[in-house]
Amino acid sequence: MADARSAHVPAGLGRGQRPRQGPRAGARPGRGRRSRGAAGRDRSPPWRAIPTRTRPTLPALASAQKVHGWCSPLALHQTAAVMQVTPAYLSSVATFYDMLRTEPIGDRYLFVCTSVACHLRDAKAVYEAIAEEARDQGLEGVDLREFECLGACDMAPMASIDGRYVGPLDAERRARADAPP
Amino acid sequence: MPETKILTANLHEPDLHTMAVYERLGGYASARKAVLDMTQEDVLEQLEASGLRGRGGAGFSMGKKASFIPKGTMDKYLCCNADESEPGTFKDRLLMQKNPHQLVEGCIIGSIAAGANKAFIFIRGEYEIQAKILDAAVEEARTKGYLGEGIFGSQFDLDLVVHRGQGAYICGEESALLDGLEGKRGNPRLKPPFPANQGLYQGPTLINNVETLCNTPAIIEKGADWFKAMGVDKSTGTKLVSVSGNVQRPGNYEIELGISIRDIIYGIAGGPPEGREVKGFFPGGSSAPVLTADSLDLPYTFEAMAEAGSMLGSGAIIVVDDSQPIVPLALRLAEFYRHESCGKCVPCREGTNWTVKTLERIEQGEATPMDLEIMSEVQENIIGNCLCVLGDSMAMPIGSMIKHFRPEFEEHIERARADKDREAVPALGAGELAAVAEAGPA
Repeated sequence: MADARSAHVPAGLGRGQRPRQGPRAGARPGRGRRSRGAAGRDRSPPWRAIPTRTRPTLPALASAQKVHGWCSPLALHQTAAVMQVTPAYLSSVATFYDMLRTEPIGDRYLFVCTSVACHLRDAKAVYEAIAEEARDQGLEGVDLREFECLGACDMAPMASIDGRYVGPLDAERRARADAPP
Repeated sequence: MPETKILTANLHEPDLHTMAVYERLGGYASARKAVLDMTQEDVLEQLEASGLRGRGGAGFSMGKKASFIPKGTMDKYLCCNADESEPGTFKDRLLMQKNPHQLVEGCIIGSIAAGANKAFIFIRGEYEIQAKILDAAVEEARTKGYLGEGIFGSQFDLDLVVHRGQGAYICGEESALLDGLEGKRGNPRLKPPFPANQGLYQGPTLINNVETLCNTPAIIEKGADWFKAMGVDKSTGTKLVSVSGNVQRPGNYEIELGISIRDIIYGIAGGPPEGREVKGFFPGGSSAPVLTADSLDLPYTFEAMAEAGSMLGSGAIIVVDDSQPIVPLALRLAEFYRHESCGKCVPCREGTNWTVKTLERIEQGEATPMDLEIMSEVQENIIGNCLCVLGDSMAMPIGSMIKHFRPEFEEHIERARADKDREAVPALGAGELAAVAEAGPA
């Protein structure tokens, strides 16, 4: 990242000015010059403030979920240790995203879309039929829930089984969707 | 009905997703030309002259947006927004699944336009199969030297990374996408500063939709004038339209911008099922205000949709026929936005919640006509008052549904309340019954 200056002067400050930070060895106060670290790199706050350790959070949590089945406290602690961030940080991210499970509901998923386009084709009835079938079968270890638009309205109403899209479904064909691959 | 083809030209070619077939059909010639034979200014000029507008929803001129990226030797980024989550939209899924190399080539050309040396494809986590296909395509391109250090033997370096989201509609909003890419909760940012100046990792960033980038190889190959010859003056080129809802042939169709909506819904997609009529439709995904059958003969362009009080948006047409009651549809819509609201801004977080609660009351017979007024006011208070337009994306369609179907809302309120009162009556004894009758309507 060679030339940081042109992109990162904070608004309201002109060239050569920095927000106050206190005295620094080698700095010459009163000259209005941006002081530089030993390596000559720009040490303005915006650069230092950008965390780099958090960048792989989403892939990391997805991997942790694959290993542990869900984003369990153990999964978050282990991932946090590797990433050198706090478990609380990972928890805040895991609770935000729909595909990251923060409860041990199952390590496979069956998302039934009930969003607008599928709703217009009776998706709710399909979901209820699948849920009933799942209860009858005593299906366990599967995160079965209504989900928002999965981007497959051409086969509405549809569901995603671990990423495999099946549709169009109707309440009678739900049994097919239930069969594990 | 002839369909013009840029994006879907070779779609039925077997194994189009492999480098061998894609190159045999002329693939990567445009990227090679952009990298070796054209300057950044040339590329920008072609893209801007073609009139290509963003295909993800906002419809901003792609060339112009790319030209906002400042010059300099700092790291610059291209982000491809493949987080397609707008209800009714499924065009990018097709493009990525069947023709991933077209997107990779588009990313290379977009990176030249922006001067970017690092590119990301942010793909929604639910598209697991498509992400794997993209990974394979990127690997093939890397092996051939089209990505990495010194692409096509030039002095440009370009890294391309496929990054999966984990389930959040809001990450389709460009600044929330950047936050997701940086490994945080997907909260939108205050703009200005715009991503062109402070985007990914606070560096200059160009963000484009999948379909927008997929158009660029053809534009570079055949020139801006060729692209401009299709469509109409401010809406040039083609659009991959996703038609869904109550139609006989839902699916993705590439059309020339400017044909009438009736031609799309009835002509190409077969119209509603036998015996039913179009009650209304969303011209641009569920975030677009609803239009009625009166608007069917309008041309499908950015300007015409805006003039009609709606938007072309992502180019997803959801058709509602006359068998569908409007209140459950409005409720389902509002629930979507409440679920997907990131929670940062008060008007959106509270407004979506409030709208859902009011619609639930209407459904369950606990509402009065005054609730309709309150709901309209809530929508007004959301629009324009948040950091991003998710709140607006609920408020505008709900507002349009109340506007076009007010009698149905009012009738539903009355009927549901009467049903509820009727149910309550047998539970009361005679004395209480008299008291209720005297008290009047709830």
